Amino acid sequence: MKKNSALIMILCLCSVGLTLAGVLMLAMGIGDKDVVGIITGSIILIVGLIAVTGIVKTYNKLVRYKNKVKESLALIDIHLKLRFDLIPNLVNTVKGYAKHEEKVFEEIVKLRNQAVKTNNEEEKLEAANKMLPKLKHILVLAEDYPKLKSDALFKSLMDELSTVEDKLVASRRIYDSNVNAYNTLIQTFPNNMFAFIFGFEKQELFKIDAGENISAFVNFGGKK
Amino acid sequence: MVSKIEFQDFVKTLITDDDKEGLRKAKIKFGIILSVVLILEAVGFTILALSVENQMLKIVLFIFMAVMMLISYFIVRHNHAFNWSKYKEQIMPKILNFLLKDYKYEYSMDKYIPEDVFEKSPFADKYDEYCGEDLLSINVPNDDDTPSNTWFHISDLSVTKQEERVHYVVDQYGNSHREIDHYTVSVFKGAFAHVTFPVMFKCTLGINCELNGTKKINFEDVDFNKELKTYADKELEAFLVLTPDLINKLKVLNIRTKGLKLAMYDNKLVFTMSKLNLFEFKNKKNFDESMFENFYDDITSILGIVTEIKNNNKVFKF
Repeated sequence: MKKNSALIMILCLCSVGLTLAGVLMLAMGIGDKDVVGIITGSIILIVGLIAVTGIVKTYNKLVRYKNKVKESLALIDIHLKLRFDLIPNLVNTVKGYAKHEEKVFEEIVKLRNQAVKTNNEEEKLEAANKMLPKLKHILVLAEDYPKLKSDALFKSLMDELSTVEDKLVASRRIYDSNVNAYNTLIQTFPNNMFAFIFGFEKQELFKIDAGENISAFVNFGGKK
Repeated sequence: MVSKIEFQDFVKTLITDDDKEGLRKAKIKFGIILSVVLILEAVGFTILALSVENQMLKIVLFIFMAVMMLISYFIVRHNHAFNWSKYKEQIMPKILNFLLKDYKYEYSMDKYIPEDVFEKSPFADKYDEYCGEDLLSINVPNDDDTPSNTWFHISDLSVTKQEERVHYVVDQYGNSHREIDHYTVSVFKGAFAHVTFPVMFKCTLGINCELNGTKKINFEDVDFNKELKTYADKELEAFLVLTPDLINKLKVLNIRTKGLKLAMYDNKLVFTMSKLNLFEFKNKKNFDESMFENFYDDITSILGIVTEIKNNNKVFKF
């Protein structure tokens, strides 16, 4: 968020200055019993107060919307973490049945560890994105191994994964709706002026497929 | 569900030339009788206005006018019954039988959704009179198209209340009198539908209806947010209920029917379409298969929404 400090300063000085000027003129007008002075002072004071209130309200609104976007990103993060937590168990279960896929398992575990360790949101989502086709691959594997498909642990892991995936998709939609609302807010007049001054930038919609629905693969058993 | 083309072809076979000719004759007959009655009424009123002085003639003319009014009323009633009610009685079971041949259903022209169901719904306001017609109950099929134990009920309802307005009238001696006017206000008129599921919903959700403990939720579809206001107690669960597919279906239904309100709470799904009279076709100008076009679209649209919610396992507490 690049704040335009000079502009913020000017904006604050103008509105506060206007309010103070209004107060002064009103006080002088009352002191001198000058009706014109009282009226002019009152008008300037009201305009000043409206300006101050408007700036504070718009700023708070922008912060609120921005925080909603952050919250929804955190929600995606929570569900990605839940997905990552399921991966070691899932890999261990499938490993016993499809030993020749060792390389894929290793890559998945490597990407999972990479995603868990990093604090960078972009890197985490990138790792999740790379992991997705590999995860789909091991889920498709189950089709070739009827014994694996009937494994109780595998079934319960699939149920959990299905729930996590559905919630991940929902979280991504929440994120998109919040980004839509936020972007609309900062692009409409007069909010766009304040967004520029306070450094609120446009957010991107979910371009990384971390939440892409793999439920279709998870639900191969017919369960929806 | 049968396709729209199949349905239209079927309806074409139902509406015979005799029906069309019968309706045409009835319209002409009705037009002639009504014109005569109106002319007589106009003459009566003119004489009445011209002979205000003659009290006896005035009374006679008043009686004559009242009789004429009564005749007009019965003609309109008769015409309505002839044009539609009798015809509907014959044709509607056939139409439903074809349209819902893959479903278990029950239909009754005289029954309607029980009053207590409406009363307990979030849409019920204070009312005095409750009536309706055309109760249609359809079994909502499972994912694999087998019958389930969930039934969806819909009927046309008319709910009214009596209101009174007090006003003061000053008589010729300058005394003011208090007078009370009673009049009927419509509380709800349209289609009302409800489903009771065997399991509870995970969240409480209302569309164009703010339920207790809910807050406004915005979806990624900007048009949907503009047209329909959604309130829910849990945001994530609301997104699981309103899938993009369901959002599109609701948008279509709202464009078709207007005044859509929906509430999901406990194990109940209720919704109303205040601008929709599902089984009412009598205002149609053309007496042909186009009369039933809306009926097909409305039923398939509503049933699609209910089936989608019923078969979405993510929204129920198992």
